[in-house]
Amino acid sequence: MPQSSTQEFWENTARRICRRINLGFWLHQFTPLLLGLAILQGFLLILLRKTGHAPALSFWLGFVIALLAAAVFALRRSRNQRFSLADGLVHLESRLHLHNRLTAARLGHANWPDPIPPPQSLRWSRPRLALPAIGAASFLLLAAWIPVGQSSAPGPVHPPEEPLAWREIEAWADLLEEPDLLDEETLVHWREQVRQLRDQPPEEWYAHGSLEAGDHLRDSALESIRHLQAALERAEYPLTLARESLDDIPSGLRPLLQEHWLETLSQLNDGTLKLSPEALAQLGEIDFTQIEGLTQEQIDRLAEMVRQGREACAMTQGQCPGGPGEAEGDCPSCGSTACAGSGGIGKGPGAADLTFSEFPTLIDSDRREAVSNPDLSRAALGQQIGTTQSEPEVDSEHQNQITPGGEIALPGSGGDAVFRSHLTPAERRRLQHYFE
Amino acid sequence: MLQRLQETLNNVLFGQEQLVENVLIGVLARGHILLEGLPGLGKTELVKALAKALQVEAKRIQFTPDLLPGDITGNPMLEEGPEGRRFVFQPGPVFANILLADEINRASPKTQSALLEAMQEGRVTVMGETHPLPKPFFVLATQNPIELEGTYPLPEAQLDRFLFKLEIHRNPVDVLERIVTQREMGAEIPVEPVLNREELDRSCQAARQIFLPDVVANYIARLVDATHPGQSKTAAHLKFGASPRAALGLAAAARARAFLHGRPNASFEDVQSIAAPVLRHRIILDYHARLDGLTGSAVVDQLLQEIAPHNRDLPKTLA
Repeated sequence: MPQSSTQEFWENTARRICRRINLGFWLHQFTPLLLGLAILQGFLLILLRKTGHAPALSFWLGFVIALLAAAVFALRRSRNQRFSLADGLVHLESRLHLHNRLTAARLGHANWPDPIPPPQSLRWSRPRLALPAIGAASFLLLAAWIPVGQSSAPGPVHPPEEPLAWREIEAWADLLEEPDLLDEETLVHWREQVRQLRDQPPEEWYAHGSLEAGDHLRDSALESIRHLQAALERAEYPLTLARESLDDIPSGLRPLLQEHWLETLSQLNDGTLKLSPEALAQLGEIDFTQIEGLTQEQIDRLAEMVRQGREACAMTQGQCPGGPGEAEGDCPSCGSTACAGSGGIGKGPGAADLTFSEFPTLIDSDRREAVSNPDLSRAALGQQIGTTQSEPEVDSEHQNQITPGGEIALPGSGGDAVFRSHLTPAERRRLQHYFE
Repeated sequence: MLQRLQETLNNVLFGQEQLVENVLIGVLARGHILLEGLPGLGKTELVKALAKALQVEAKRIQFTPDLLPGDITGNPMLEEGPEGRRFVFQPGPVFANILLADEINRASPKTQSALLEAMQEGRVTVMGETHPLPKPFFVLATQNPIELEGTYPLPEAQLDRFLFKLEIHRNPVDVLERIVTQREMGAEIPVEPVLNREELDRSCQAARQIFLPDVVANYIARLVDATHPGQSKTAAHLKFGASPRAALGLAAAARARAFLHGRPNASFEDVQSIAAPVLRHRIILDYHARLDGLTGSAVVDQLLQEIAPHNRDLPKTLA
C-alpha cells in the first residue's frame, strides 16, 4: 500500500479520535455552565411566576443566548487542552502498541505502518454527560411546574393613621369655632401646632417626642377648654336667672350677681381660650345692678351665646348637651355616637341632674316651718334621723391646675357629719327603747 | 547479526534471556553493567562468552580487600636496557575490551576509585602519564548480594557510572535440569564468533542514530524528574533521585533496545523496559522505605505505574 494512502489512513483515524477527544474537553467545560445557567433560569422562572407573569418569548430567547455564550466561553477555555494531530497519533500508537511508529513516520524517520483496524472508539462517560443535562432539564421543569404562591402587587402605600391627639385637637377647634364666640387666635395656634406635627415624615409621627408633644398640646387644650367651660357655666347662671325673671330679681341679690358677674368676666379673660372682643364687649355691658337697662332680647341673646359656648366646650369632652343617655348606641339626644357616658355601664351620658349651686334656689320664702311628729310610734325610725344643709367645699383654684394622670381632679372635702339612712336591727331596738 | 549474537549467548546461559538482552543493550549503548547475583549463576561465563562472540579481548579481575589500584591500572616497572634503567609502564588488566570486575564491592574504596576514571573517561593516569584504554571498553562488574562482612559498598558516584544494574535470579527447575544435562563442571563452553570489533562499532554507531521522538524524550525527562522527592507520590520513599546521567542512559538504552528489535525509533515501551535496570541503582531510598523492605526495583515499578507515557490526559467526559 502506498505510503501516501497509509499516511492518509492513519491521519484520518487520528483526526477522528482528536475530534472526539476535543468534543470531550469542550463538554467538560460546558456542562457545568449549562447546569449553572439552568439553575439561574429556573430561579428566574419561579420569580416570574410568583409575580403572576407568564414567561415571554424573550425570556427563553435570553436563555438560549446565554447558552450560546457559554458554549463559546467553553470553547475558549478548552483551547489549551485540545488534541492536535500529533497528540492524536501518539494516542493511537499507544493504544495499538505501535511503538511510537506513527510519530516517527509523521516526522519522516520511519515508514507508515500498514493500516490495521482502529481501536475501539473512546466511550463517553454517561454519568458525567447525562447527569448535568438531566439535572438542568429537571430543574427547569420543576421551576415551571411547582406551584408558587403569587404575591400580590404592592398596593398604594397609605400613610399611617395620625395620632388620636391631633384629630381630637382639630375636632375640638372645629367645635369651638361654631358658636362664633371665641377669639380664633388660640384655635389657629392649635391648628398650626398640629400642622407642624403632621408635616413630619410619617415614620416620625409615632416617635416618642412627637407623641409627647401631641399629648401635651392636647392636655393643655383640654385644660383651656375646661377652664372656659367652668367660666361659661358661671356666666350662664346669672344670665339664665335674668332671662327667666328679669323683673323679679330681688334687689338685695343684684349686687351679689354683679360681683359674681365681674368675677366671671375676669375668669373669662384670664384663660388661654378667650372670648372674642365682640363677645367680651357685649358681656361687659351687662350690669346686674342696673338690670332694668337691659332688654329681654339682649339677655336672651347673650344667654344663648353663652349657652352655645358652654355646650361646645361640653361636646369637646364628649358630654352631650341633651338629656341623659345610654353609654352604648346612638345618643337619644343628639343621635351621635360620640357622646360618652360619664359613669360606668348603663349610667348614661351627661352629668347628674342635681348639682350644688353657688346660689340658693330663689323660692322667695321667709317663713320657716318645722316638721315634727309627736307620735314617734309611727315614726319610721332608723330611716332618717336628721338633715342638715352644708355647702360642698370645692377648691375652685384647683380647676386651673394641670393635674397629673391618676390623681383625682376635684378633691372635695366632705362634711364632718355622717348621716346614715339605715340602722342595724340592734341600733333600732336601742333607739326604740330610748324613746319609750 | 545481533539476533545471532543473542541466540549464541542464550545458548551459553540458559534461562536468562532477559539478562542477555539487557547485556547486549548495554553493550550497544556503550554502557558499563553491574551484575548482582549469587555465586555460580553464570556471570563469568556470560562475560567470557560475550568476549568470544564479539572477538574482543576480555580480562578478569578478582577484587579482594588487598587489591591495589596499580593491580587494576598497571604499574611502571623498572627496566634495565641498553640505554640504562627506565620505568616502563606495564598495563594492568583494565586494558581490555571487556573487563570483568568480580566482586567489586570487596575491594577498598581506593581501589574502586581507580576503576572510576577508566570507566568514565576510557583512560588511566599513572605517575602523570595518561594511557588510553582500548575501544570498545566495557566494564562488567559483579557483586554478591549476601556477603556483607568485609565489603565496601560502592559509593553513589561510582554506581552512577554503571548504565545498568542487572539482577541475576536463580534458575527454575527446568532450566536447572537443562544445565545438568547439557553442561559439565569445568568444561569450556564453545562459543562461535558472531561479530568483530568493527561490526560491533558500527552497530553501536547505528544504535546511536536511532530516532528518539520528542514525546519519548519528554517521557524520559518526566520519569527521571519523578524520582526526586516531592515530584511524585512514589518519590515520597526516596531520599535522592536520579541524575541527568540517568536520563542520558535511558535515552541511549532505549535507542539500543529499539535497534536490537529492528525498529527505526525508540518508543515508550523501550523506555519502560529498560527503566528498572537504569534507575534502580541510582535512586536512594530513605530509612523508612528500607525498613519496609522496599527495593529500588519496586520503586521503579511504582513510578512506571504513576507516570503515564503520554503527558496528555483525556477529558473526564470520555471513559
